[in-house]
Amino acid sequence: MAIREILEVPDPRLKTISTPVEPHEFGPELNSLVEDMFETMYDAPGIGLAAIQVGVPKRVLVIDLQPDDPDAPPVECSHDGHKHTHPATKNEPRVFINPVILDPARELSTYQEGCLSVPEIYADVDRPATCTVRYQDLEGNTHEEHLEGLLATCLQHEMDHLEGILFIDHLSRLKRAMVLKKLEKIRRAA
Amino acid sequence: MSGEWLSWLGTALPILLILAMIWLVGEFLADSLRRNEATTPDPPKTRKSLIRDAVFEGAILLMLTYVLSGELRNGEGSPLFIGLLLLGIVLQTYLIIRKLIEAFRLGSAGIAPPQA
Repeated sequence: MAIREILEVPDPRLKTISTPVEPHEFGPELNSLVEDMFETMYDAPGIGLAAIQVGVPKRVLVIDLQPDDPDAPPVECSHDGHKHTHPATKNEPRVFINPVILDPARELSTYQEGCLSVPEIYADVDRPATCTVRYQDLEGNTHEEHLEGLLATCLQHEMDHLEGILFIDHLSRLKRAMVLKKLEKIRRAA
Repeated sequence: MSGEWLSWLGTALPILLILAMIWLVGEFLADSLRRNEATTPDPPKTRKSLIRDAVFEGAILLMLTYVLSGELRNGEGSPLFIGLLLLGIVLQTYLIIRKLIEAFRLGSAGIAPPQA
């Protein structure tokens, strides 16, 4: 397992349209990619990652919403300059290979989205509130699943990456320009 | 001279207020319409920027209230103008409450939304 570099805008590779994973590509190499993606995602930290974000133009996504774990004691930490506790989270790793959205709902829901490839920038994005996804697992078996809430939004966000689309592409031109300027400012400050 | 200025201000202020009302109503309607599309009109929000916006909207609300109270005291204002002022006050109040609720929501979350 290894933490890979996450591509950030304006890296042109993020605009690549990812290609499907072919039947002969299922195996140790794909497993290793997925393991690396999970490790990279947890390290970032994030709740989803598309393969293209680590420079691999394949239709592979990993998602872990890491919901709060009410059974575990709160976790103490001291980032941001003061000691405090967070609710413990549990890992629910999900892998989607060659995902296809079948029936996006007409009803939209709005989430404030952020992206590991557009760090520290957040904006409200409207997406279908629910959808059914057809995907393959690491063994190549096909599944269909109805998704809703944050998982539906996260999957659609990641699937946009497979088409070379970033969440800021859903914003108006003016807003996108503002976001990119802000990102440049953050980078200069860093 | 000051009399001329006051007279000019007296003429210009209602026109400016009517334009501001049209802008406010237009923004409100456009905001409602854009909610149905895949984009949102506001820039990325933070708790600080939302509170700053609410203060700005509050200043406009105070100005509208001041003008309305003047009109009511004089008893000479046209019903249309008073109606527009009331509409402006209602819209400003709505905007302030919406921004404060959103600021509270962002503040109570305490952490940035997750990235993916």
